[in-house]
Amino acid sequence: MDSADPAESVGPGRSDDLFESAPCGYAIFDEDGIILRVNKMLLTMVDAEPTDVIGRRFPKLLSVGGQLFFEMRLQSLLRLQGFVHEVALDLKRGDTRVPVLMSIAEAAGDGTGPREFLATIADITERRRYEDELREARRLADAQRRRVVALQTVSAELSKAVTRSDVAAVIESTAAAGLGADAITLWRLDADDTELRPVSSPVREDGDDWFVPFDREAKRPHWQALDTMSVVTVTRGDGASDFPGIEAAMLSLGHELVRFIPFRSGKRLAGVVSMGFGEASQIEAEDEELLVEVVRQAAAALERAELYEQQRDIVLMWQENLMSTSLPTDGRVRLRSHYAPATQVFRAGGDWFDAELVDDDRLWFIVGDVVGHGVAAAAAMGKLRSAARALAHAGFGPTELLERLDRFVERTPGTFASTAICGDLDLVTGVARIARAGHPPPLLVAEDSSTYLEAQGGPPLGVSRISRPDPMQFELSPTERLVLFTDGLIERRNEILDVGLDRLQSLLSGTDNRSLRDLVRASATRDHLDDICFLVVART
Amino acid sequence: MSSRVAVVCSCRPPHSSAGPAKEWRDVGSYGLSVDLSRRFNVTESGVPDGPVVLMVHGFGCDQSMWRWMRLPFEATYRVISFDLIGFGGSDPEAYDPVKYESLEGYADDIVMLIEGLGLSDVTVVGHSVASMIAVLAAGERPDLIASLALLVPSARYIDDDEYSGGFTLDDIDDLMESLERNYLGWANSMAPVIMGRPDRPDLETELTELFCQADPVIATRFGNATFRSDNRGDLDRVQCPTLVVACQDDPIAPPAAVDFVANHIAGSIRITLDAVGHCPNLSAPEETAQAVLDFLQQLPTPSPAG
Repeated sequence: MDSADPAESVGPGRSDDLFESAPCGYAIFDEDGIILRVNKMLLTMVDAEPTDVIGRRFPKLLSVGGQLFFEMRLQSLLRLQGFVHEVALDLKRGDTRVPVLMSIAEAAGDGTGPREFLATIADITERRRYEDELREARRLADAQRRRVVALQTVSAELSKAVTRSDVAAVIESTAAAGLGADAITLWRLDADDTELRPVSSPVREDGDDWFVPFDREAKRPHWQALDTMSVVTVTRGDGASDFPGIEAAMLSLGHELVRFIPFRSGKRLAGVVSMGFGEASQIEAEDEELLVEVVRQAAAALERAELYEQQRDIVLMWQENLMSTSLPTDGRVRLRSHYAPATQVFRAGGDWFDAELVDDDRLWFIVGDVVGHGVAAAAAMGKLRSAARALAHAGFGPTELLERLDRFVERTPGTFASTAICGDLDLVTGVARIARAGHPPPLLVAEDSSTYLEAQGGPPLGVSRISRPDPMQFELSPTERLVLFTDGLIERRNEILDVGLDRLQSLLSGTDNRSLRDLVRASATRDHLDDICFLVVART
Repeated sequence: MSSRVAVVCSCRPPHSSAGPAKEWRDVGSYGLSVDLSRRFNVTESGVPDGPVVLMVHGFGCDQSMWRWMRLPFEATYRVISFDLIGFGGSDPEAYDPVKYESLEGYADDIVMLIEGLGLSDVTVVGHSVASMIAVLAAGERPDLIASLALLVPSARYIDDDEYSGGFTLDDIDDLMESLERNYLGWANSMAPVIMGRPDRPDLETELTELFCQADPVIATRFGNATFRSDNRGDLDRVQCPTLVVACQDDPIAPPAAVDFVANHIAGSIRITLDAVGHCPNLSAPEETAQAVLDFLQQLPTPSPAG
């Protein structure tokens, strides 16, 4: 490639004069980018002599990033379309840079010579400063928007979290993703304030002991954060000496920086959230505020979850206690019962059953369902059950018993509109009587058929003052079974009740106990929305 | 794959509305999958039954880069070029930020294209970063790709211990900043302009369209995928005959980087063109094409069965 005579750049003449003394930089280069000519302004901008630039390639005047951009994009565009407009790049000037805006167009030659390109280059130092301020403002606005989105997402997820492990899962996944953390762990202080344990302990392949519970003997940053109630930040390489083992843990987990953010529950210290960030952490220092806010929300959710879990445990314990009374044993009758609380535990509580020998030859039995769930429903169920039992022992038959319960629920909070099916069986004659209050009919299962005994129904307890019909009366043969159940057994989401009734009917047939076991198994494994309860009565 | 019917056509630039339409054959008439053609803005020329040369453009432009280089192939070969997703006339709906986060996503597209068009024994010509995309595709599917021509390749742009890629991380950050500052230059924001081109009568005073359009966000992501990738470990998976081409004074793929590629692909042939800079397909299309043609001619002819 021949370079142009350097003398050309200082030649005389009006157009040369315009070229030379123009208030912007000019450069002419050939198709390969070899500089043929430049003006004084450009030389001033790059602080060079003509001999430094003539014959070199134009992109060499640019910063390295600019060279890449020029070679990979501008060069192609120049060859293909003959021009580029308003390109913002940096010229090199010694060790500093001059921000410039350049436009390049193919010089109109006579069409015979090689292609030449003319670049006009304007120093935009001031404008770039302004532009940088705008870009910085936009970056801050973007960061702010990201924070809001991250916080909203975490809040929304936390609001759906029910149990402590739900809260931990949200923090470990959603929050970590939104905050750009590699890993987040929620540590809870135990009741004695002596030990910190992970709320859900992540399984680690390397089996290191960083995520097992630890006490104050382990001098970890968690304690410092708790004791000072302030955020502790550990950067790998710095400050690690204060906390034995942390350097190795950070290395194996790939964390460059770990933040420990304490939280309270009411006025008590409650725990610490540790957040590990890798090399490519997206979180910037200013976002500590965001991290603290996320932890505050997580702490509130954790508190809620703990309260809920306590309440749930009470319900289940209570329910279990009430149901644990053993069924009567008599050689003339076979009884079988089953109770499974709703899988979504906050819906558990309210279904119940009972059976007693109320005199030498008479078995009394009842299955009921109290409106509502939770502690209140479990309490209401207990009252209703005691009342029913007392009435049964006082000698009331099924209909009279329900009518007295109608009065009872009017005065007893939480029991109104409960449903029940109540009956008795003469163990000598096999005559059974059944009365219902808003409850699904029982299923009478014979060897080769099964039938719902739908006669003589009535409204739920307390709902009406009209006297209830006489009980349905029939003889239970020793080859039959009477199945009493609550609606949890037949109800499924998006399904009308009849479908569930039909399904139960086809499932329960014959006197073979296998179908009953299937029923128990099905009710134990299925994801059921409501309590499931049933009682089976058969003569031997 | 035996007849040699020449089809006269040259490269179709993307977004062409008024252009020399009569020269262009509808790719659908070759019986190609119209969907794929549209997705990748596939352009075909040359001998319909000829051996296939697939040209893949690199960072910064689109398939317009091949417009002058494809001509010398058209007498013998079936020349296919396309736009990488996110560039030129490719289907913007097809862009998937996760898939195209790394070069593998683009390599999968080459495989998809070759399989979808029912091609075999394909020669892939990759420019710049597309040479690594071609390397990945050839490593993955040696059954589809018969040979490679890698123009100004580099397996890693950033220096690393003993390895010299030519750039530091700061340089790449500087490039990314240039991309960001020139955000608008990528988009379809400028109207076409009337340009007099006395030196190229074939283009005289035509409505010049804008080349190499791209979604600026995608261009930046592709820039990151390109310049931060490390494909040194993928080179030895290439089993097919490979031509490695360097240029004079190429700041992007310096000799050491090109040597590394050639040294790690077994049996590859390394040459250096007289062409200057990083885009020999534009600056010296005849010389570049001839080098690839010479390379292809000395290869054993693929059997019809593939």
